Amino acid sequence: MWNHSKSLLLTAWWIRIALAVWLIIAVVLPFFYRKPAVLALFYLVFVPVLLALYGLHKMLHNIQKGQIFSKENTSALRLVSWACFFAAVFLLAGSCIWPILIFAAGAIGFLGLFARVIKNMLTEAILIKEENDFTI
Amino acid sequence: MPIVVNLDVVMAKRKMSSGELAEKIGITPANLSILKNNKAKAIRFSTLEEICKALDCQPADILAYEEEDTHD
Repeated sequence: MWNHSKSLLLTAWWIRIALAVWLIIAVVLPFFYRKPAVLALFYLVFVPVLLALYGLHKMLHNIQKGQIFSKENTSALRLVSWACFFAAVFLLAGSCIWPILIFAAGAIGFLGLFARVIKNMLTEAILIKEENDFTI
Repeated sequence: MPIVVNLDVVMAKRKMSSGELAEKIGITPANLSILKNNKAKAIRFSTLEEICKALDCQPADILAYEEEDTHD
């Protein structure tokens, strides 16, 4: 039977798979593409995406521990949003060479914005929960 | 917070222990400790009512307003 803990486990595995795939691509890419522009752009985007995946992994780990309304989660979401913004900026710069990248930049920038809104919502939720916990 | 809880003063006057008061008003000793140590963000009217009943006092005996020091 499908339940919440299985869903969390599935998401954790998706993130681990994404991390593994991303690291493999980083290792094998220089063997397939030797164009310096492609490699430079990839490794510029590589770091923020890795940080975003790390932030998501950290958040999921906290959720599994039952620490949903924690300040660690808001800082992880902050990291994810900034990582998305940086990746979007690098992709936008890359779109000067390959215009198609403007769509990827837009999509990642939107994700960053989304993460930022969720982060602000979580911050408010933590304040409400704290007030509720300290209401005797 | 400018609202101060003087529960320990009233408890001392009535010679009532924390455990006894917690049991009488139906809250955990941990929550009573939060209240006594001014860590609480809010107090329910129902809790205040129980405290007043148990300690035979008025809300003003427990709660006080103290102006905060502001440094410009």
